[in-house]
Amino acid sequence: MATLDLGIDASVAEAPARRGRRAGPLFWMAIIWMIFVFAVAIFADVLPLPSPTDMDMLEKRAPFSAQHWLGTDGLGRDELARVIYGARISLTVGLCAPIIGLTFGGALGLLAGYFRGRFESVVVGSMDVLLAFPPLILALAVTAYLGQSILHLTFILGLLGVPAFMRVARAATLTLARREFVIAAQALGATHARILLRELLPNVMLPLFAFFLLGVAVTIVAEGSLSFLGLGVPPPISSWGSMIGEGRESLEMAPRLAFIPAIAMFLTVLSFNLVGDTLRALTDPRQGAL
Amino acid sequence: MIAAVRSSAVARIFLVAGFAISLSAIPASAQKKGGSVTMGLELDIPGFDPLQVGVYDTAALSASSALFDTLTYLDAGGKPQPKLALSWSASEDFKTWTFKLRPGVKFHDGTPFNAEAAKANFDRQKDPANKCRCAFYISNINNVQAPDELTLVYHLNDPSVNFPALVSSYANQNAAVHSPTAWKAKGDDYNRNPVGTGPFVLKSWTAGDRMVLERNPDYWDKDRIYLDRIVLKPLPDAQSRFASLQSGEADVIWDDEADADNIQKAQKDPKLTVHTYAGSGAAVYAFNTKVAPFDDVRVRQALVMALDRKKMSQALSNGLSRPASNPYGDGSWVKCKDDGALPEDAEKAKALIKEYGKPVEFKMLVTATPRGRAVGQVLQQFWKRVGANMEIEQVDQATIPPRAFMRQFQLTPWRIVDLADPDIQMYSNFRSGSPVALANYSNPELDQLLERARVTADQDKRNEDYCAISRLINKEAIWFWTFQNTYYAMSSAKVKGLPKMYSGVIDLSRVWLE
Repeated sequence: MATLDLGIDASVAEAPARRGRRAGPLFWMAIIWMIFVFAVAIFADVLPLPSPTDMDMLEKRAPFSAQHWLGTDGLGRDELARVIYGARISLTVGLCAPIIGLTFGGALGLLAGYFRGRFESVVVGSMDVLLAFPPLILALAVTAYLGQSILHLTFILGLLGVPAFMRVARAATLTLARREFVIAAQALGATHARILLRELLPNVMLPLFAFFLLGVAVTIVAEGSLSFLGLGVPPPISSWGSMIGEGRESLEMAPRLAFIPAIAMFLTVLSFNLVGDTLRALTDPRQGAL
Repeated sequence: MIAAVRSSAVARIFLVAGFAISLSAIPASAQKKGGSVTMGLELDIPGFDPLQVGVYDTAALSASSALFDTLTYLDAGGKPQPKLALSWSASEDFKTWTFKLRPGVKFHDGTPFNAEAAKANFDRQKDPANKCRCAFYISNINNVQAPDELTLVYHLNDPSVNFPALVSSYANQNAAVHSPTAWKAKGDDYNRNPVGTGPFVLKSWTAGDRMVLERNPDYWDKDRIYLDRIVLKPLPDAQSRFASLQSGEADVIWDDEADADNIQKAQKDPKLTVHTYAGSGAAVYAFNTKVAPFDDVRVRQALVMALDRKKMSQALSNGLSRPASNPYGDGSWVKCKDDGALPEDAEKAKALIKEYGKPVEFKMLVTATPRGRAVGQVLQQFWKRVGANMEIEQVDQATIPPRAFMRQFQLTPWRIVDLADPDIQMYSNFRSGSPVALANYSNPELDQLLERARVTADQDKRNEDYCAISRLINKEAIWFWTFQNTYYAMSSAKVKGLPKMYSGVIDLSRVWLE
């Protein structure tokens, strides 16, 4: 069987795999944008920016100027500073929540895919229950009940990501667990822990990481939706979603107030998607068969 | 206090000659009959049975003022005038009020309107077995008697000198007179099949879409009803509501200050008319004076002094909101030379906070709406500038009253609504021991002033007392006021004769089209 697989790989699957491996200019533009967003978010305090919460109430919805590069919002706060500080919230929540999903979902999926049996049924069943629940409604209910904070928001969005990560990890583990290197390790008498950590985890990690980047993009949008509905981070902290929500009020008078954070969110989500997609193509186990 | 009551005994009888006074000051011949008006409401109307809906919101009030009549209505000067009642008089202590009713009035279903029917309306709302949320608003009325066909007697628990202006000046959940046979016959369906004595009859009603009201051909005052039809549509989004007014799809729309951009646009448009009414009352905020840091008067004063209402108005409503320095406002008959307002002085506020010594940190309840968040952030900004840290706690609109009544807050928003007399709200908001005395503050001098003001018939003396009350509250800074109540409606220029929007009610029943 194994030799037959190799034969197909060599002749047919070569072309698409190579195309996936070539990272085009879009990929590099996405990387540059991501580095830029991370840099301004990390160094926001050091940058010569006005405070994102200080209001100049007589200067509301001011146009672009040397003092306010992107103008001011509906309450006279510097739009550029708010977009940059908003990036902090979006990136913090966007990175931390999928890490929760990655850790717990990845571990569960790995164990379920390796041990199978009743444990797998329980894990898959409970994840199906979580998946069946409308995610935004659950997030709304939890933030309304526990109160609004970045911590709660990250926690609930992370929890909602667990089933997806579990499925990816389990699917990868299921195919890998029957591969020759695992069988060889078992034949050599390796313990379960060693097989899981040394043989399976490094291989499962690659598709999981590619999926993680897509998860970041989805989470940034989810955080934006919650903030748009007023259930994200509490004011006066800005996040892209809440800025779009506030900008909606004056869509007719000053459409830029909604569009500037929307463009920032769009570019960031697109970048994560592009990078995630490219990495997934590069690390796809179906093509990486040796 | 008793002496004050006695001295005012001369003025105890308020007799009004009902037939002489017309409902409109302009002669009837100047107006054209016929036509249909469509109105854009902010909300869908939940229904009209007080037992089921509890309170009528502004949308329901627009419909109820066309469907129902009330005993009295307020004229352009804010004085009560006869509608279903022809005349009224008070007992010496202002605790018993007798109304003489209009004869020959019939409900839309043919049931005759009489004192028994009016009493049945009251008894139904008051009955503890019915558990009506509306009963809260008539808690001051002990019972209502109907000694004969056309006499209605109200027995009050507490004196009320301005009762006829308060009990039924607009068609709210308590004042609208429903047909007793209709609610008995229809049961639960009555909520969506209301029957009153009003100038318009419910023709059809599709939830979420439109309500059609047709003119009542047998109305007792039918010569002064000009429209053939009123159509009410819920249009919750302010932008689309304004767009439907511009396109002519709606002739009248409800609006408020938060939509300042559109109001200012309409003011410049010759095809549109902006109707505005500067009501009494204000948007107010109560400190819980039993909890730190608000147990110290210096902190409260500092926070009030830190406000700059003009800037705040600019930020929130392009300057449309009218700053308030007392709870009465320009729309009230209470006029004060000196209301004791604290100066808007950030430097002094900083000094007071410094003098207090400890860090000032607190949470404020804010409604989880775009409007609530904007107000909260602006206040937060003012207080940050003088060294006080406010954290915004967003809650649902509906959870603010219970939190306030349980005193589970440090600082809460509240509203003093537009009523014809300040007594009810001032007494319940500031008399120590009242459930709505949110500040948890008690002061014998304030109590005494409130007690005296409510039983004094002489308006000048009452005015003096209410000004003294304002000075005391402002000095102690237990509550503060930001903006006076201003109500808005916009219409196409051909809609004429819209009466003053008391309490924000847009009453279309007597308008005409040009």
